Amino acid sequence: MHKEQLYKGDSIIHSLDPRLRIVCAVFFSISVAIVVNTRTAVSALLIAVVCVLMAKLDIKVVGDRIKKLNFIMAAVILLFIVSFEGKAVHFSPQGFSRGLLIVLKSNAIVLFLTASLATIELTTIGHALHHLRVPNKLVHIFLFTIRYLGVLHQEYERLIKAMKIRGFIPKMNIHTYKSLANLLGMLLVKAIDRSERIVAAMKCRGFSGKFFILRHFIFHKKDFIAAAIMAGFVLLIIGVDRL
Amino acid sequence: MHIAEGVLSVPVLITGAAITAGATAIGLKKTDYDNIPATAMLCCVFFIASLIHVPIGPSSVHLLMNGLLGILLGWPAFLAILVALVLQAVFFGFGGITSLGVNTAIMALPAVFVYYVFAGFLKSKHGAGFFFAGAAAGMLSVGISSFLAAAALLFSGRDFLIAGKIIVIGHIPVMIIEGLITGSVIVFLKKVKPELLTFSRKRLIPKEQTDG
Repeated sequence: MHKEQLYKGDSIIHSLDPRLRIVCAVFFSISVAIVVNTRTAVSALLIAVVCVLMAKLDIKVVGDRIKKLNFIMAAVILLFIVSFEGKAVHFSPQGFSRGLLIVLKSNAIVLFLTASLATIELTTIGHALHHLRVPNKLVHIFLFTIRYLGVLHQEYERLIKAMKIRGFIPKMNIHTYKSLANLLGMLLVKAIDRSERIVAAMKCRGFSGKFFILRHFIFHKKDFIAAAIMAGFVLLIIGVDRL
Repeated sequence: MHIAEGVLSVPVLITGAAITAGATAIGLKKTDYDNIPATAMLCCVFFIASLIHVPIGPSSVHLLMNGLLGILLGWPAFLAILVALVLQAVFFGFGGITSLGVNTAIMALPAVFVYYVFAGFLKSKHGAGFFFAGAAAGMLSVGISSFLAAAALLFSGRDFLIAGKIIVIGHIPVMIIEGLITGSVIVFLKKVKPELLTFSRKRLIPKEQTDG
């Protein structure tokens, strides 16, 4: 499940306050999403690339993350450029520039999210969201999900392995669909059984809806500097774009 | 079904975010603390289902299962889908923050819809009704999702006309498979753990048992 452990690192970005990184990711994404100018989009992409470099991430892993996105984007651009009218094929340069803008923007956002969010451990994201006043129940669901995602995935792999040992080869037929449905059903039953045990265990320990988060974050001097720089970039992106 | 970041126009992004914020608030109200672990578990299953590839013709598609999630959970399906999409963004870089609202609405609105239309059938005593309720829920939810995705793209620009058509047509085989599998899952659950089918309408552990 955890193939890409990008959060293990000791760069400057990793040492920043997780709350700050989440807030930065939100504002950067929004500012780039409203960009209409290609030149601004290029600068946003440059900022994102610099952030990825600063986070000292494995370039191969980052490349894998944006590879699939850009495959789809290439198809989209093609659809933008080429239009069919009857039997004639038209090429539109405006379509290309509109497509290019979208590609730049989406790459900028995904790269920035990789540098800012994927470098935080998931549990820490949950705690940071709690400190950022995300509704309590939602944070609970988030934390429970990341806790049991790996467990349930193991369960899934065990079941699928058992099916394969018994000669299951997925093909395009009713038998395959029925078998996969049974697998999914079994997974659901196991999931709900486990959740019943969790509720019972929580009740035993007197759970009353309050989650005690022992981890508190401290805003250091470098966090203030990073916040100021990012605020500057975001304002610049929004401001320059409309000139 | 993810729409990538930077693709959609601002009005579409704002509409999606507003729908998701409102529906999430309703979902939070309808979830009590006893149901949180179960909701999270179904969120895990939803996430894992998206990793299961089903062969179709020469290619394969991955399962969506938003219909199944919806028919079992009702409004809290919004919470589960929201969390699953956040995780996919962090894990794989699919989707992101600004498109989160739209993507959640695309997947979760049909889920809530099929809950209202088909969850009632799960109370019936007849065996066949279960399969058809599940199959219809699975098919419809995927169909509506693909329409919503195409509409979100189309409202963002006329350039997306062909892409939108491809999405809707491309999801027709997915609809059939989702229908078959969702129907079969419901039949399986009816045999193995029938109380799961009425899960959204009652507390998981009866009150007297937990408060005693």
